[in-house]
Amino acid sequence: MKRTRVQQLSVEVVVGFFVMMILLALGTFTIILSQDNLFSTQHNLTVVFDQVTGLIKGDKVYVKGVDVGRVKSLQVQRDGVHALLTMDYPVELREDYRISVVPSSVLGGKFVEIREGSDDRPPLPEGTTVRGQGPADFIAELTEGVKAVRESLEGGGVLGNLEETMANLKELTQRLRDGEGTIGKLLTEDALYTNLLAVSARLEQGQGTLGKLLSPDDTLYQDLSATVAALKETAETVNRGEGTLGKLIKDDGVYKQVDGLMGEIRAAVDDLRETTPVVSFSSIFFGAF
Amino acid sequence: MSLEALLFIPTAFSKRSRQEVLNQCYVTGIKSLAVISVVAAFTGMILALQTGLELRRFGLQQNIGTAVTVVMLREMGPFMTALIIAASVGSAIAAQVGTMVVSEEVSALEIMSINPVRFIVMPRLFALALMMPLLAVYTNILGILGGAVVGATQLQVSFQAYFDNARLYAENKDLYVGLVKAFVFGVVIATTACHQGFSASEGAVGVGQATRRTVIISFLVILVLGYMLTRVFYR
Repeated sequence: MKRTRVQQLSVEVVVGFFVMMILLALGTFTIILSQDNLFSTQHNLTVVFDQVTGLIKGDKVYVKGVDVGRVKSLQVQRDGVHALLTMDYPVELREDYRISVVPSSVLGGKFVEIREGSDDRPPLPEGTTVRGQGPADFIAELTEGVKAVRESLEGGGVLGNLEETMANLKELTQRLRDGEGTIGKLLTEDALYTNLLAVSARLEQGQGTLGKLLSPDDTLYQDLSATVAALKETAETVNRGEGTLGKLIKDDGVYKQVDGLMGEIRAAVDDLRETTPVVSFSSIFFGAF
Repeated sequence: MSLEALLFIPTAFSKRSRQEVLNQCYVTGIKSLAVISVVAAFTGMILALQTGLELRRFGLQQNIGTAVTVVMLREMGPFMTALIIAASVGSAIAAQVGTMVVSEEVSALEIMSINPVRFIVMPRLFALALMMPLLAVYTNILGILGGAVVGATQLQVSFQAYFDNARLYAENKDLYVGLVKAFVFGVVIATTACHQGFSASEGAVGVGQATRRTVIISFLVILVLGYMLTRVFYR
């Protein structure tokens, strides 16, 4: 099909426009995927890690929990892994800074977390090699934990104690099943349960001392309360040194008088004991006449 | 035949060939945009929906940006483009060339000392080799946008989160390996279609068979080469 000159020109323009647009889109795509931001100032920071355990180019960089950049490149060298970080935030590291590789989830993935350090600490001197810390190895930590638990179980006697406990528990449940002991009887015999039921029924009905205490009729409680109050008052009176008993306890004079009285009684008894044989003999002698 | 056509590539923009080359670019690229747009957008949307629904079970649906972008750039962009172009443009080339062969137009060209490879094969090969990567870029863009729309409307993944996540793991390598694939697929489609067209015989039946074989062979070669190229670039 032969096209006119205008039609041919329009074909050329459309094809040219399409090609130009796609090439423009391709360029934009390339810039976006290269992780570069052409419209803001980028700050580079090289951090040396002993090991990075799976950190890859393009992983995020966080400062105070905010995504500020990406891992631009990773180079393995003799002194460790040199990670070049590009950020749109100018980090100012202090002496107590901390840069670490952190797992982003249990399923995998890492990011770099930067803690710039305290404001009261001096800034990091120019030219200092910035060192970072590798991520915690969850699997290794878990393995260590399991190993420690296993050692404590096997070597620390825990397993033996556990076996003994289980044996005791087994014996206990066996005894319970056999109806031995109070709880066993409670579980197996209806008589004990019936008795308990009867006791609780009596308590509920207000029978017996406990039942009366628990019953709505509070006469017994009032009596007991009055008795306790009277005893308390008596104790307070005695404690104040009032009354005979109080004076006896509190007043030293009464104690001394009683003590003296007891001494005189003891002397009178001694005299009586000494004179009794003479009196007895005299009575017998004079009685004979 | 293709090697011979490659020898004529430097003459693609000569005064004699430029018009035919641009016409083929127009037919291959511009006239295929409508169908490619629909296929690309829905490919991205299906990818986002299927991946997102599974990821949502684990609360990870925000990762569909990476999934759709990487899959589109590496595989689906060039692959889907190649299938559409093989089915539409490749079959049309085979039918056109086959008709020219069975109606002895090619013999007439040879009698007039016009090289049929330069006159027929080179413009089509050049157009497909040039337009396929460009169409693949177009497919990638629409597919990624389609995924973003599904993410925002059905998976509660904002455009910002989608594109931030898409940038996280997609690399320029993914984009350019995909374009290399598209280029290779374009050459395969043009070569297969022209070869089948020139092999056509027995009138209209032969042209029909050539068209059918072009589509089948192109699809199979695209699949096999797609795997092999992926194997070469991603060990």
